[in-house]
Amino acid sequence: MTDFRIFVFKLAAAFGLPWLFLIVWPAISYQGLGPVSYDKDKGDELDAAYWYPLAAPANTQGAKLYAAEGCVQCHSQMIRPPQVALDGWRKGWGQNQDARPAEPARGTTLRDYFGEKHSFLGITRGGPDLANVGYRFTNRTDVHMHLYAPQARNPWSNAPAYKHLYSARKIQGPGAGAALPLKGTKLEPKRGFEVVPTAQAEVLVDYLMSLKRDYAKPLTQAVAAAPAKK
Amino acid sequence: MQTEATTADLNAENLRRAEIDRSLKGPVLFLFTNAAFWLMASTLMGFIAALKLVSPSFLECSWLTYGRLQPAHLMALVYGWGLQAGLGVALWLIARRTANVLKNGQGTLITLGILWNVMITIGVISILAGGSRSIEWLEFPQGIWLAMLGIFLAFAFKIVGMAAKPVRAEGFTITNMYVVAACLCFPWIFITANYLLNNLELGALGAGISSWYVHGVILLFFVPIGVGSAYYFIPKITGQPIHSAQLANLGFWLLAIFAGWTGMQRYMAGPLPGWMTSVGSMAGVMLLISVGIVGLNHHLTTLGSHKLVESSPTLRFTFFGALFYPVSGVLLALISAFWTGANLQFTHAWYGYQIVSVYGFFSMCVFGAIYYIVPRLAGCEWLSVRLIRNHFWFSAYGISVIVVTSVVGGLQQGSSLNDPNNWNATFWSVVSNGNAYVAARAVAWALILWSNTWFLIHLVLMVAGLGRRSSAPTLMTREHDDHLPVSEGAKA
Repeated sequence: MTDFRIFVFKLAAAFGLPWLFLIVWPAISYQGLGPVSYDKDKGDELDAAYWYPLAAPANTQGAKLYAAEGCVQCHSQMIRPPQVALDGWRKGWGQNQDARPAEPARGTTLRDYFGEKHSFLGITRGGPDLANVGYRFTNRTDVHMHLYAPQARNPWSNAPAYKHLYSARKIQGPGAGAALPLKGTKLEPKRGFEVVPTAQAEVLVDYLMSLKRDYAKPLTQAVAAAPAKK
Repeated sequence: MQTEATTADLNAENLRRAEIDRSLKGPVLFLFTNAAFWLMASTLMGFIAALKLVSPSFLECSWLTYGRLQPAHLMALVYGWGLQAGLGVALWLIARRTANVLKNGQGTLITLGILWNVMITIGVISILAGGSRSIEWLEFPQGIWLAMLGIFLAFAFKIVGMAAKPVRAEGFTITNMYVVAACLCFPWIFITANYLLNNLELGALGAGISSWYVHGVILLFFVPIGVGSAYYFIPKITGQPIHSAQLANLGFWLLAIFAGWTGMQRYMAGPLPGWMTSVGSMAGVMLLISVGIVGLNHHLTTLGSHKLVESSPTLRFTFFGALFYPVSGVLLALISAFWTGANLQFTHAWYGYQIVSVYGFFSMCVFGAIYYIVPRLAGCEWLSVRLIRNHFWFSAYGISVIVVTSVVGGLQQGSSLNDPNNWNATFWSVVSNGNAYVAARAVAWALILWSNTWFLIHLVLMVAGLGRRSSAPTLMTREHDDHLPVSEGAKA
């Protein structure tokens, strides 16, 4: 055996080990990961007829748009548990929107991301976390306004305005119901015009409104951390 | 070997070197020049992206929103500049180390190089046009990864082939080990990440794998090429052998063993199984040993030759790059350890780490290599000391500013996020704490843009054969043409 061959074998062994055990094997066993059931006998509020995760199928169209606009560059979708960081206590980052909730939002778990091709856990936090943003916004217009003109609500915000997801058009008849309420603001369009969301903007808002991960998880989940058989 | 070298032997050696250089001229100069263009593009995008982060309404246009510009900037830096220049250096290093002449395939390599640039152009434009996939460092559209892989493999095949059949009997040295490792590991990581992320539904695990990919490319491609080049040029120019072969070996194997485990720690305390983030955190910290060993070895090799750092452009850039290697290691340990990581997680510190490894360390080493290689291939000497000096100081200063502001700004950002007093506050404090640092980043990119403009012009002139006609290399401490300096002249 030449030096070169020995070297290649040693390298393959050194790197093959993490490749196999950290990447390939978990990726395969993730495919067998199934939902866990709630169990009233163990103290869960829901009964065993319900499964965790509860979430509706992931919105793939919206996720594509979220990816295309690079939202992940500044917005994470991951709540760290209270013993590590204050994520769960920050106002509006969980389900409870009260000023001082009794419980912090729970940390996100592997099953919270079921159905997503790959999750946008985040790169930096230039803006707030969006793991539970669906609870924060109660109506679509607020989200649209935020996407169209982030500085209108928070003058200090460094979020870009996604004006290209909206179109200005001539008002016809009584005007579109979905038109953004820009009257009286600096952004008011020309007289006789209105700004309406495009189909893409609606899909993105659907996606954002669907991000709700802070529901109670079954207490049995800790036990079922290993891949559960369906 | 050193005692009995007769004039005839020396002449034969020199002729052999010239022959190798001639055989590599086309592909290597092609890669360097195109890489330098991408570096310019990336620097420009980095500059605008930093400005947009502070003032989002500047240049308002859907193509230039921060969410598209930032990935385009990094992709151009990684694949346009980094991989391309890295392959050029790797090809030359291995050919010289093994005394192999590139017998054929120059035309094929250049054609593949053109294709590579076409792919990167398609990728960057599609990100800007709104086709980003938002998988870090894999943002290009799905269709082009196989083409990129094929092109990389064609180059890697030549490089590894030369390393497998050395003409010279010196055997397998440390530079060869690093370069071959880079050529073998990159396709491995690239195939794994692309295959899994394109074909399987992975949820949060997908984010972990993409982070593993980024760490893998940094630690198993950029680091090996940078360190391998430093291990070649530092002894070459100082005229001293590598201080300790054992340390060099140990440093390499510790890197190879630990690098593959890193990555998942970026999502510490997140949805990934605890053991994955823990093992990543452990590996990130353990790599300090490898980094320390390599740093020590380089330091001991350079010891006593610091005067040459002043005069030789190659050694100056390589020395600075090698100096940044420990910095990148410490930064990796800081963002990896649970102790400090919770504060630095999701902050600018991550950008700082990417830039210090890809630019501060890798690129500076590659600049050093380019300053050595290009005159030998182009057959003329660098035109102006002032341009080199300008390139060095603006790059060194700019990179240092980016790294320091990213880390300090990241700490501010993170502690503001984790401050119990801020629980009810809006995001205002986090944003405003970061703004000054991002503004400084924009200034730093502007400085680097200035330095790269001159580097590019200088390089293009050299490749066009318009350099100085002289037998004396361009050195930084004396004017041209006075006399042949001892060390670099003798080794050339």
